[in-house]
Order: sequence, then C-alpha cells, then structure tokens
Amino acid sequence: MKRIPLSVLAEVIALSVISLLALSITGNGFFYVKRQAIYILIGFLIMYLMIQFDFRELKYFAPLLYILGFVLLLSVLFLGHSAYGARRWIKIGSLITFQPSEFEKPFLIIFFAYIVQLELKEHKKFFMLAVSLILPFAAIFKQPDLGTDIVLFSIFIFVVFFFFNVKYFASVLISVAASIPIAFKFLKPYQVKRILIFLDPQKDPLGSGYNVIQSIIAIGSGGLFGRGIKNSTFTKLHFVPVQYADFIFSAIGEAFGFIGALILILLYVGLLLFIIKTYASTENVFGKAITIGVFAMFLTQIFINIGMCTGIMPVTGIPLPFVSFGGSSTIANFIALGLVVNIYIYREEINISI
Amino acid sequence: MSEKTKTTVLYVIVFLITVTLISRIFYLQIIKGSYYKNLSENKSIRIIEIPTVRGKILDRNGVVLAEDLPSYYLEITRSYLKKPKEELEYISGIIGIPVDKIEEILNNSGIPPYDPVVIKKELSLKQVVAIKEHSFELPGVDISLRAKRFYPYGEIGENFLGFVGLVTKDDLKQDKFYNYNDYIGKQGIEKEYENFLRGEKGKEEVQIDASGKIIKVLSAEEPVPGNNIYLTIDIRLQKKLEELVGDKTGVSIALDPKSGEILAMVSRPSFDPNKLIEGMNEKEYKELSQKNAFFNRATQGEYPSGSTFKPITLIAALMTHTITKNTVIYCKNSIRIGNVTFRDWIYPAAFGYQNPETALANSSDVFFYTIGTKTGISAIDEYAKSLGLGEKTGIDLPGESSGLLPTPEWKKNAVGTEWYIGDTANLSIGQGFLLVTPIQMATLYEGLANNGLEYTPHLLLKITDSSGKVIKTYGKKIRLKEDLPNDVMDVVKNGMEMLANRPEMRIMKIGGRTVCAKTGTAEIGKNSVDHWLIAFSDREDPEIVGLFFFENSDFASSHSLSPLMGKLFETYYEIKKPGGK
Repeated sequence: MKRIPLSVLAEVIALSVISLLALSITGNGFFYVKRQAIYILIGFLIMYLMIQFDFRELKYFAPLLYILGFVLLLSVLFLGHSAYGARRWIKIGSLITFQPSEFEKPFLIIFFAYIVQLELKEHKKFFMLAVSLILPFAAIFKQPDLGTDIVLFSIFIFVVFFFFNVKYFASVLISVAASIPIAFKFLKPYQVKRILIFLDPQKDPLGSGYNVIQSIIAIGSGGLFGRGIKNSTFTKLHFVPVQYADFIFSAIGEAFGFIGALILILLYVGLLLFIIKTYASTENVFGKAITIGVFAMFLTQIFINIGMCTGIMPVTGIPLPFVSFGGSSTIANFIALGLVVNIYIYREEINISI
Repeated sequence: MSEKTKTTVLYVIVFLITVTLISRIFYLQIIKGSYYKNLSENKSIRIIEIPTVRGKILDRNGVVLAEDLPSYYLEITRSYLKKPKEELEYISGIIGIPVDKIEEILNNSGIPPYDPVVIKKELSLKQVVAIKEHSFELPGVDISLRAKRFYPYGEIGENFLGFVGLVTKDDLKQDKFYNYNDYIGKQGIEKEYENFLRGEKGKEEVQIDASGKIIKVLSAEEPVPGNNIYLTIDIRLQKKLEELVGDKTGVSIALDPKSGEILAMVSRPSFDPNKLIEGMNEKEYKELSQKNAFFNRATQGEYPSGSTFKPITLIAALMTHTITKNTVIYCKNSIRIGNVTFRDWIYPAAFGYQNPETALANSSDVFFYTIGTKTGISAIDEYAKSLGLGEKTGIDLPGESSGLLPTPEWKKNAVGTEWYIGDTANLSIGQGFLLVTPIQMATLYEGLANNGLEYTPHLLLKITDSSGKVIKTYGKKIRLKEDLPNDVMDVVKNGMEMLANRPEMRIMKIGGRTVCAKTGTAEIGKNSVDHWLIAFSDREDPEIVGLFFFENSDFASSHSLSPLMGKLFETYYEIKKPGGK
C-alpha cells in the first residue's frame, strides 16, 4: 500500500494549522492565510504524487534536475525581481513569482545522493560533490541569500560526514575555519551588520537589532499559555516587522505561549525521528543519502530560524519549515518530505530485492 | 563508523538541538515570562519621531518673515482610548468641539489607530491645564508641543513667501521623509526651498505603557533644525509697495539691475497666510479663490504689455536699419494697414512730425505701426525673444508662467490662420496675441537699463544653517546678454527720459536723478484697461528698476502711476542712505 504514514500526515497537518493560525494574527486580514492555505493544498498534492513511483528512478533524472535548478538560479540573477535588498524571485506572468533557491534544496539533495551512490573512487566523488555544491552556492550568494547557502552547506557537511571517510569531513571543517576571514570580505554590508548585531543586538536597537529585540519581547510575553489569538497585541501592532515570513515563530510564541512553542518543537522532533527511522531501515545508499540530506535541511532551518527568533542565532532569511508564509518554500518542504516518505514506503521492497 | 553509530549520532543531534531550543524558550517564556509580559504590555518599546524645527525665512537684513512658533496640539491615539465615549465627551467639553465632530476627524484622518491624530491646534493654557490634570483618566489623549508656522507680517510678502500646509497622500507616497500630521511648503519660497527649510527629524526609542504614555527614553537621535533662507527682499520697501498697491488688483516689483535681486514684489489681492494655517472657513476660502488671491500675479499672471513693448519695436527697427535715429515720420490720427484702419491712442488728435525719441515719449501708435510693419515680424520676434519675452525668467518661485510671444508659425498652429500684417501692427504696440508676466517686463527693463544684459531675477540671497554658517549664496546669474550698441540704446533711453521729464512725471526724479520710464495701457475688452509703468533710476548708473501694473485699472491714465513710482524710488533711496540700511 502506498500510504503516507499516519503519524507523518498528522504532524504535517498540525504544522499547517499552526501556520494558518499564526498568519491570521500577523495582520493584513486573511491575505496571507488564504494564500498559504492554497500553497499547503498544492504541497499535499505534490507529496501524494511523489509516492506514486519508486524513488530509485530519480537516479536517472538527478543530473537533469541539478542542471534545471542551476539554470533557474542563473535566470534569477538576470531576470530576477528584487525585494528587501535581494533578488530571489522570478516572475511568471503577472501574478506568480517563485523563488528557485528554495527548490534548489531538494534538487541538490537528490544530486548529492546520486554522486554518493556512483561507483567511483572516493576522492573523485568528493571532488564532484564539492564542485556541485559550489556552483549553486555561488549563484545564491550573488542574489544574495545567505540563509539558503547555509542550508545547502549544512546538507553538504552532513553528506560528507555520513558517506565519506572522516578525513574529508575534517578537511572541510579546517578549510571553512581558514576561510572565515576571507568570507567576511565578500559579505554585503547588511550581512556583516547582521552578524555583528547578533553578537550584540543592543548595539543598534533602532536599526537591525530592532527585529530581534521585538521578537524576543513578543515570545517572552507569551508566558506559559500564551496571550491567545485575540490578545496578541504585540504581534497585532506590527512591532515585529515582516512577521509572516521569517519571524513567524515570535507570533506563535506570543499567542500560544510555551505550551504552543513546545508542541511546535515536538512536532518537528517527530518528523526528524521519522527521517532517522527511514534512514536506519533503508539499505539502499541512494535512499540513505537522500534522507540524510532532507534531515540536514529541516534540522538546519528549524534550529536557525527558532534560534534567530529567540536571539541565539544571527538574523538570516531562513523560513521555518511548513509554518512560514511562502509558496516556494512550502512546496519545496513538501517535495523534500515526499522524498523521505517515498523511501520509507519502498524501502521494504528494495531491501528484499537486494 | 558503523551504521548503528551513525544512527545514534543523528539521535544525539536531534536531542541536543531540541534541548537547546526548549531551554531557550523555557528561559524566555517561563523564567523571564513576566518580565517580557510587563515589557510588552506596560512598557512597549516604540520608535517615535522627534519633530524638527522648520527653518526661518528672513529678509536681506535678517528681519524674520516666517518662523516656527510653539503651539499646543491636542492629539488622540484611538487604540489607547480606554473608555472612548467618556473621554471624548470630557474633551469635547473643554475644547468646544462636539463629540460627533471629533469622531468625524478621527475616522476621516486616514491615520492608523496606533498613531496620533491631531484634533485641535493652539490650545489655550487653560485648556492644556484642564486636560493635563485629568491625564490619568484620559489614556490615548495627549497634549503635544509642536511647531506652528507664523508669518509676522501677515499679508505682506505672502505672494512670494507662500505658506505651508498638511502633507497630502501624494506627498507621503513620493517622499518617505513625511509622516501624517507633517507640514510641507505649498507655495512660494516655502515650496521652492522646502528641502532646505524642513531640516532632519530625530528619532527616539521609548518605553510606553498600555495607554501610550512614555515611561522612559532609551536612546535618541537629535533632530537637525532646518536651514534659514535669507531673501533679497527689503521688508521696508516691501511694506511701502504693498501700501502703494493697496486694495487695488495689481503688481509692483522693485529689483536691482546690477544683480537681478528682487528687493520687493507685491501681488494683490493677497491674504494673511496665518489665517490659512489656523484654519479658514469655507466662505473665506471661496472669497479669496474668487479674487484669485492664491495666485501670484507677478510671476504667474499673463497680460498684454501695451506700450511698454514699444522699446523692442524701436530696437528692432534701428538694429535692422529700417530707420535711423533721425528718421522723421508724419503721424496722422490713424493709419490704414491692409484693409483695416488703426487709430492712434490720441485720436481724433494727431502727433504730426515725430522722430524715434518723441514718438517713444508720446507713445505714438501710428509711428510704431509704421516702423513695425516696415521692420517686419521676424525681426521684431527675434529681438523680443533675444530679450527674453515668451520665456520664463527663471525666478526661484514655483509655477512661473512663460507668457506668449506670437510668431507666424505659432499662429498657424494655435489659431489656424495666416499671419496678417495687422498682427505685426498690433504686436508693434504690445497688443494682439502678446502676453507677458510682470516679472518678465521688470527683467526686460533691467536689460534695457544694462544695454542688453539681464540677470536672472531671484529672491534667494543666501542659505545658512541654524548656527548661522552660510551653506549657499545665490550670487548672480546672467539670464541673457544681447549686444545692443550704445547709439541704439541712447535713442531708446532718450525717449524714455523725455517721458520721465514731463511735468506730471517728474515726481519720479528723486534727488534730481535722471529717470527712464515707459507707460503702457492695454485694452482688455471694451471698457477695461490695464495700466503699466516701468522705470529705472538713474540712467547713467541704474541701480533700481521699478514696476507697477494694475489690472482693470481705475487710474485716469498710465501717467497717473508716476506718483507711486516716485514713492518707490524715494523709499529705495531713503533705505539706501547711510543709516538707512
């Protein structure tokens, strides 16, 4: 039976409900709620379609998907449409815009897994892996979208750690440490500022540090049970800017309190445990690599986003999976989760056939 | 690493991250929960703008013509009202505005509920006290000390000073600087130099309680006051000219031909801008609109120039050698041009033998019809254009008109008919299609005084910052330079001097100076005329150009304006005397 495990289905539905509730109080009437509801429905449909075939067939499409993803990223740089100081969107017609960097996450995961399962010498595979990271990484850096780059890099690190000799992992860590001072030179002034402000948000309470301070106050004021949807004045008065996107966790924290935030985190834990279970029970390397990639993608986004809203991580534009407003990110999340569900469903067949 | 170890690593990672995030939210929401709740409920942090002070406008000697004065404003922030009904009723009793009217102001303000809406300006001290005493029972009601624009001389100088008014929705869209309740220059110097006058706002991070009251200032960026604008105007001369024009509809200008500095400029009827700032009722506003009081006749009004145009016709005729300075023409009481008879203004009398100088002094129409039609339209247009007619002078005021210098091409396009010789005759005496603005004529006579050199007329002397440091000076700009030989200009000036020497015109010759003047009477319809008088003093070393213009004039003739010009010159020389300045 090709069925999505009930626990996973329940978790994703719960996350979607939280998303819609939070969006209903971040303002602008039901503008964001209506749109997000449509994105979620499309997401479920895509996830359903994604379990209709054996994931191993993706191997043949992996290079194609990689090229597609990269071409889309390049087209953003040339045709893109900018917002908030960055070019991340492509316009199709006059209504739909989409953000290729979000789709690059699942595409790159599939391509990484494809490289991992190739029968080549390890150093060759590592070289391919590194090159295939750098191309989209650079294109996204140029947009600039530091958040997505962090996620891509995290996926890379996890794949290296789990599928390569430990010396490759060590060399990646060393080269990263060595290149930090150089990287600072390439960062946009606003990115450097964000990092410095993360180190001390009070330094610029009127400027960039403002978001973080306001977000912390909103979350803290939620207390144990939250202030409820009606009384979340902080959120309603728009003290936290652009809250429907990257700062949605602060609205959840204010409205639903510690209990609500805890439930949200536990829902994520449930999803992550499902991914680990899939990883452990699959013997196919291609499938294993995909699960690790998706694990890294979700884990990084959850940690950095909630960390940012609560002031323990710097402000980077990383959406909270299944909760932040956004068509591209929501659909990309469903694609990624669909991959894991697919592997989970087909794992027994595969394991037996081997 | 075995598969089992790898799985364990994954579990450990999930565990560590979960513990980190949960402890962080536990810390924020449970341990520090009440602290943040307090902070958000009672001590919300907000960023508020600190208004700045708009720069002053001063005359050339530093006399203040416009400045910001403090004024108490009553403001209501809707989201902070606890008991809207009771609170509004109480306020209504104090300020005397009915509750439904207050509600109307609140609802029509277009301002978000958590931003203050101004209900009344200029509260009396008594009202301020009555509200402040009850501030505890009136959350959401605030008294703020803001700046109110004040024009100490009222109506005097309004035409160029302009006034400020509340920003419009378009202003808000176009420039992020502005916020609801801000003022912006709407007309005149206030508009022209808005970016210098407005200053820079400050901002302040403050803690406010649930009723919106500020508890503590956390950090602040100080505002920067606007720059001060010094004008070329001398308020003493300005006052005199306003008085001279009086209740009539007219214009007066005094400018310095050595620099283009405008010493005084009057356009009447005008109005007291203070009344507009305080809020004018509809009836008063309508009355002023009907009188075109909001319109600066000196720079925006377009009128036929009448005979004040004749020097251009004469210059064109002399420059093209159509006539010489010795040419004598016998002028009958009328002349037939094409198949139309053009009468002289003195008809049925006639001027008889006229040379260029006497013809200019007498303003003989027949003489100018004759030489104009002989010279031809293209030469007249060429000299009129090269002396700046049909084009804006470039004065530093918004909305200047360019007037109209008719040409055969223009007529074909705009009217659709050919240029007739009668059109040339009409233009030769400043009638027909020709339209000029008073400032254009003042600038033209500046050019005549300077033998073809015109400086751009301007009102700005210098801009200083609030500490008095000079940021910008206007200096002088050459508008145009037309090489007019002395022998040609001598003929023109001899004619104008001869006119000024007439017994009824001598009054303009202050301290025996040689004055050059030209009058003009433009016929507007059957029973209505506009009168012009433009003069400069003195002929040898021109330092003042004066202009009077009356719309729908009730003076006996244009010559009757000479006592006014005499007073203009007299006041100018009075001020110029040592100790006068």
